[in-house]
Amino acid sequence: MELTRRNFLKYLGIAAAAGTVQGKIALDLLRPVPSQATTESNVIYKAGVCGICGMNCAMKGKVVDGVLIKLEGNELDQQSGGSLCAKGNAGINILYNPDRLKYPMVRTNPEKGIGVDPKWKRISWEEAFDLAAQKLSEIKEQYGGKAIAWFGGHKGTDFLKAIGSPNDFCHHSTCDTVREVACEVMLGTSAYIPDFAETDYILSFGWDQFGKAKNAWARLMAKALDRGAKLVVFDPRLSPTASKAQEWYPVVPGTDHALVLAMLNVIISEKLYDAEYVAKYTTGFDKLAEEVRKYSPEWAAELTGVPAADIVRIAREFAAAKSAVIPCHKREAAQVHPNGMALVQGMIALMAITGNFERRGGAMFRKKAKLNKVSPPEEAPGLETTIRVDGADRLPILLECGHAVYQSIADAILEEKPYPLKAAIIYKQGLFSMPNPAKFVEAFKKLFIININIQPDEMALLADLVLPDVTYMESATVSVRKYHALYPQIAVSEPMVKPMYETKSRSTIIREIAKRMGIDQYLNPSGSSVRDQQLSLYGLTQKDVIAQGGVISPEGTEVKYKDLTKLSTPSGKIELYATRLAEHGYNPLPTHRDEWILPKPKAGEFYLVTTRFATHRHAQMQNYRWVHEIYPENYVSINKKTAAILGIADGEEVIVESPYGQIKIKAKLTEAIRPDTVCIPHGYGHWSKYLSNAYSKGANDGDLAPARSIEETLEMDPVAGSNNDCHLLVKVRKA
Amino acid sequence: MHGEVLWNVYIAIYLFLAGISAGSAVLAAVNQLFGIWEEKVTKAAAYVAPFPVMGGLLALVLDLSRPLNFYQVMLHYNWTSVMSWGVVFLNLFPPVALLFAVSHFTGWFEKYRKALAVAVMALGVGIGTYAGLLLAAISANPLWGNPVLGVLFLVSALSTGVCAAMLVAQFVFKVSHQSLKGLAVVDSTLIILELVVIAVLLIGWAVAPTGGKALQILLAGEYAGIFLGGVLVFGLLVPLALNLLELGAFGKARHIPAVAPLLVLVGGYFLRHVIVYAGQAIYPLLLG
Amino acid sequence: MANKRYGMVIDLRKCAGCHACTVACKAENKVPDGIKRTKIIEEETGEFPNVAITFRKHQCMHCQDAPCVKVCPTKASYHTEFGTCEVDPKLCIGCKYCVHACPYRARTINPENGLPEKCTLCVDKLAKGELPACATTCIGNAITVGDLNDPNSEVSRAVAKGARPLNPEWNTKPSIFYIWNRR
Repeated sequence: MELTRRNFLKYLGIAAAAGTVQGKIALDLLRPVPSQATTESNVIYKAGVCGICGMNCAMKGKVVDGVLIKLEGNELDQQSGGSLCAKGNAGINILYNPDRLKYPMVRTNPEKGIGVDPKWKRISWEEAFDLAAQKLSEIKEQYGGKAIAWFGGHKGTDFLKAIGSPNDFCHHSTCDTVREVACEVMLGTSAYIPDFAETDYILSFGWDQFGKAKNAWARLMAKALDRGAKLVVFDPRLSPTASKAQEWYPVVPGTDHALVLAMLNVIISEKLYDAEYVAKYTTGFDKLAEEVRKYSPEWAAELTGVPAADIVRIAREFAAAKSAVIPCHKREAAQVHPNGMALVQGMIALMAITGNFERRGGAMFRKKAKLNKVSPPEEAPGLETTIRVDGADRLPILLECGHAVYQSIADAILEEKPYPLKAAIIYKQGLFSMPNPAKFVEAFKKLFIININIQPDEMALLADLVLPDVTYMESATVSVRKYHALYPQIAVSEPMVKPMYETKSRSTIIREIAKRMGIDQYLNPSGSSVRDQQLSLYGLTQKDVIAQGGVISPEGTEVKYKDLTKLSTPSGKIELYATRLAEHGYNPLPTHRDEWILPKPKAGEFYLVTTRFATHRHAQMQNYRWVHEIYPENYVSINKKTAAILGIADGEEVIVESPYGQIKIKAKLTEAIRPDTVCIPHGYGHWSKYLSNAYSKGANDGDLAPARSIEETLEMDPVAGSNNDCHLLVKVRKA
Repeated sequence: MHGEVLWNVYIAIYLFLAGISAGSAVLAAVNQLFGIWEEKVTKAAAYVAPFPVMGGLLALVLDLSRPLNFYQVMLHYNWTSVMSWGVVFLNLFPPVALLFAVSHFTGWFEKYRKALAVAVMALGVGIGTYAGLLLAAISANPLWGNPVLGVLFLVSALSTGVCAAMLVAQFVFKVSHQSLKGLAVVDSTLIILELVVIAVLLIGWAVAPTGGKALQILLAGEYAGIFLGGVLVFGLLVPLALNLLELGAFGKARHIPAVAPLLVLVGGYFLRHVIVYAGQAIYPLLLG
Repeated sequence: MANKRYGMVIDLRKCAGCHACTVACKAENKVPDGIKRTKIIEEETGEFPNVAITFRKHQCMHCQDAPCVKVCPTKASYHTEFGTCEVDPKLCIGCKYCVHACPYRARTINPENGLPEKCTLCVDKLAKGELPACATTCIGNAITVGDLNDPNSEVSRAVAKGARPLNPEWNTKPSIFYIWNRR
């Protein structure tokens, strides 16, 4: 007889004595549910809007005795759908983070640099406002308003106008300007919505918002998979999205556009496109057909490593699908390689010629709700110059999209070209949002920096004046649904708790500084009256919207459609041949540029791809304890077989070196990546000692990235000004 | 947390001390009932029996993460839990063993001694078995969840109990060399039995699907030194050799007082220690 | 009294391992730092390019034949009227036997109160007719909660269609079932 452990114990009468019946629990063991430990009499739910990522999910905050204890998605919101991602759930950590900036501080250490302690001195708000106004006024007097820049989120545009500066900087050229520009010129809008809820076919080129838990898209991607939609993913690594796909192709990094061009070739040459739709809603089809004729599946196969037969089959499946979509968001395949523009143009063309725009299950236009405009009491006098420090004035379409050439700022400051920059107000931009931060640190040594910030990150350490900001849980806002607005919808938030410590809102801070500079009449009004005014378009106040659950859908909750002959493009239609690009002398068609394909990596060399953990946004969440303990540090993923050749063991520290810098980081061995590619999750390597959890954990992939000068940028991507962070090869060796 | 240790030295000490009490109680009872050696042996073992387990209970309470609730374990019993059975034995054993010892010390209620001996033996075997089964009942643990481990702990309990009694018999009661030799025979038999049980355990792991990890950690891993050196060599093989030397197995008998039983006792602790710790190291928590 | 058996069906085809559940649980249940009641276990199988990754939510399985309940000397570990495994703080002495007995390794000790820390299936929320925090926040809608003893519940239907528990061969009758990833 086989004496298993269980049998033996049964024999002893130990395991068998529990009087259980099949599927039922012994009744004598059943007891009532324990009563909740906390009395829940003082619970109030407050309306909120998540401020962590751009999706701005509407949410509810559970407040007990004045303490925010839990955040939950607001089910009225078409974006959050009642759920929140890990980051959203961890929002409370931002509010109650003991490391938080609590009061205004000024640096007493004149030396600035990586790892240098600013030797902060606490000051009063009055002193802080006076100091800021005095410094900025002096600089404006001596060098002009243009010597002052604003970094971050276009939240200081009115202030810049008031002082006459054109230097409104945002990070998008290291992120999604390629997608924005391509969409603008072809569709007349900056983005489209992948309608996963109804789709039958999804093509992903590095798109991994499922793995990064972008709420609405992750949720609806799961729904699409549940419905049996086909998902094909091209990605050098098996991303979480790819792990769900029926087909995954580990494409050669930086060559995705070739697949799209070849698929266009197949669909057009085999006449699989929707001719009626093309004729009715698009322009430039013949020119596109002519261009893509040269991109055969065999050519693409050679470049990408994806078999030609699969390219042809997928193209046919895509064209035959009842509905199909190619999602495109940020920093994925498109944004980090110089042929990215062709990729996005090609993606839009693929969906357009198969009739998938404004079709359920395809790509939908954003239906953004309108609000009453608010404007400053007095019109600002006008900009001193249109020439910008970052050189964005040399990229007219990018500038029309409202974006900057982020990467070139460091060189411009260092070389004082085209003119010297003397001060910057930096809001919600961490140092790690900047490519090659070491270069930016050098540049920032030349500036007087006012940092409006929540946590004592590296940017705060580089600042001359640190002003503590409120979080989105301590302030109110009116937020138009954008990322996934299938119908117009507005979410409103109220402060869930009183602002902690001495924190103040950005608008209050800027108004107080502007007042002291005598320019506050040029600022947009702020406060609750503004929110009421914005909402008065619908005859509602902020309070009314909160009473209705925090979210309103002024035109009902049916999906709205846009007339595809009345787009904001010059022709009003989808422009397969982008006339706006032609007007500016750019190539109007998706075109392969062979000189911008990376050389094949030699032994010990790798393509670099980056990602980020679903629990973190950019470099800003690493210090928050609930998400910190999930992923305390990052690593470089290396294919197991390649690592074996290099003698690298799992968990061992390695040096990753690019032409622009090097980092020391732990290796994670995996089979889920191309043997010639390494992947690093972004956001780590914090060197601010004041971030008690994140300090010195992992490494920053941004140290490997170039911060390209404006000239280099113009050569590589003259249209969208993308930094193309990953257009490089790295070397990996044992540390 | 990976390989987090929740049961630490307190549990090892507790299992060790409970074993000594069990073993010496059985020795005292056997000699009482069958009169194999002089009465001093019974006395020595009977005096030893009640006390180690009391120290063990103290260690057990110190290990609790909610010690103030300790009394609940006396009020509530769960008969599917080995631990509840243990509580029964641990409640009954010390008073009975103490009574038995008092009887020998004072000479009171002499006519009930045989009955007491039977009770002490039964409870002693109960404690010894329980201390082994406490871990063996955790069937999912690749190291602990093995009935043979229960047998090992029981044999080791007898062995350490006999050795503790031997030391007291030798130094407090100055028993005859003849009796000591007799006890050395018992001790040697138990050691050989223990070695056999260990061999059965190791062979069992070698053929069981999850046993590889157990073998690895005991024979090659973090705990190999303490298991091979502390338990096998110095806890079993060396005292066995000393016993055989004493019994004249290698020619002229030589008396080396105390060394062999002391080594057995130390080895007995190491056995509990290594099993308690290694069992947690190879069976890490997934949550926490 | 109706004999309920509340459990979960977790659809791993819809789980991207985003940890929304992990964090929502920490907030809902005020779980101390360094401890989790639920977590995501990422498992990679195969060789490049035929690789698969499965993300699996791991937690207390609320076994009906629960080793933790069996080994608890004071019956502090018990089944609630919802069929969930629960610990009674009044009875628990902190012997940690349950932590060691759980074959799913789903318990640990809370350093603040000495109690075994584990998923309760948010049974206090169930009692109020609400869903557990993880199920509410799950971005992929991968978590379904219901009464497995009600043949018409969504969870029972999923089980009938082939959702399986982890390691059913351990015969602990878990109430957490998985629909396994297809890749």
